[in-house]
Amino acid sequence: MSHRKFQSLLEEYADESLLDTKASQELEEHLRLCGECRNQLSLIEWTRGIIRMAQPEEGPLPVPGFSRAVIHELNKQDYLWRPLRLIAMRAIPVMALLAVILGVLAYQQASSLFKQQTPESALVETYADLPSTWGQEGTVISDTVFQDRDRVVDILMEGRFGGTSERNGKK
Amino acid sequence: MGEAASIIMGNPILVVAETELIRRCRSGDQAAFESLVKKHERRIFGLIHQIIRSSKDVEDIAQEVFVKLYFSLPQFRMDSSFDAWVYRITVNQCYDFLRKEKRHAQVTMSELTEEDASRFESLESTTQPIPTDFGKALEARQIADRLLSLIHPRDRMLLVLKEVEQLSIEELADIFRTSRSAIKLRLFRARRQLQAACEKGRKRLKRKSSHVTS
Repeated sequence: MSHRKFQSLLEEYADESLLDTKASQELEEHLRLCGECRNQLSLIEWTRGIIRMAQPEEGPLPVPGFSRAVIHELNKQDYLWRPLRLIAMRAIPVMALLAVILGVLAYQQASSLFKQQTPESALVETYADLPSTWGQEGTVISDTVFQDRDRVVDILMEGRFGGTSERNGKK
Repeated sequence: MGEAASIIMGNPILVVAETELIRRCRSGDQAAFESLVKKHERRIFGLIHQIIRSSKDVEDIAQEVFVKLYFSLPQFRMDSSFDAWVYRITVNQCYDFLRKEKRHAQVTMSELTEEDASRFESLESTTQPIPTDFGKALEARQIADRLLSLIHPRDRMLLVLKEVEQLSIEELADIFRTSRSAIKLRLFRARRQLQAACEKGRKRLKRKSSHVTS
């Protein structure tokens, strides 16, 4: 067992009887050799002495009828909180339902926005992925891509991407 | 748990009786809850007194503990320890009380005076049993009480539950909802705090006595 493991057993060891005989023997062997663990055990015993010595004198005992007073207090609080509890019990399902509806609406809104942006952005991305040899002799690019090229140039030059299309004379 | 709690927990008839009482309480049977209060009131009073170290507010806090216990019974898992549940509510209630009372600030600012330290030095080792002489015993109790008041209330609660209520590490881990190693670490820190508070007083005393001799 490591020093850390022995150290972690000191609380149980100080409680006596909480460790089995084998573990106790091993720990006692370690304590003979380890000053740090001996100090920690002394600290446990010293603080135990202080705390037990500091026992306050006999404290108050429950007065006769204390349990009745508790029940009275319960009824008072139950009476006060019952309407609020009823409201809360009804409000929670309603709020959960509202959250679901709002979630569905937000999802629909987001997906429609995404769909609107897809054709143009996908087209631009397609061109961005083209090899650097694009346009050079011998590069094989499908006809569709070539046809789309003019549209991409338009998109890039238009205002939404921060430029103007001089080719078409558009702003 | 403490001795009384161990007897209760070790007796299957009493455990079954308590489980039945809890079931009845959960279905709104106030007579059953009254029986539950009667069964635990003495122990709860004692524990609160141990933690807050004043007789004045014990009854009010105990009442709040039982009211909280009643309203939290629906969340109680029947397969877990009811005693740990009661201890947890009591400890939390006491801690709230101490926080409200602002004893916290008072505690961290105060230190062991030279007089306390000198009285402490004059006593025999604290690991010995409480002195048989009444005057000495009272003095020892006052100094030990003063020392305990110097540490953080949360640490004091932990030490009281461990050393006075004699709860095991496992039970403490259950009450504070943490791991056994975390409890051991907190206990170690609490003990070191107590030691540091005492050392501080001793150092002040030494400084004072060296001033007087020079």
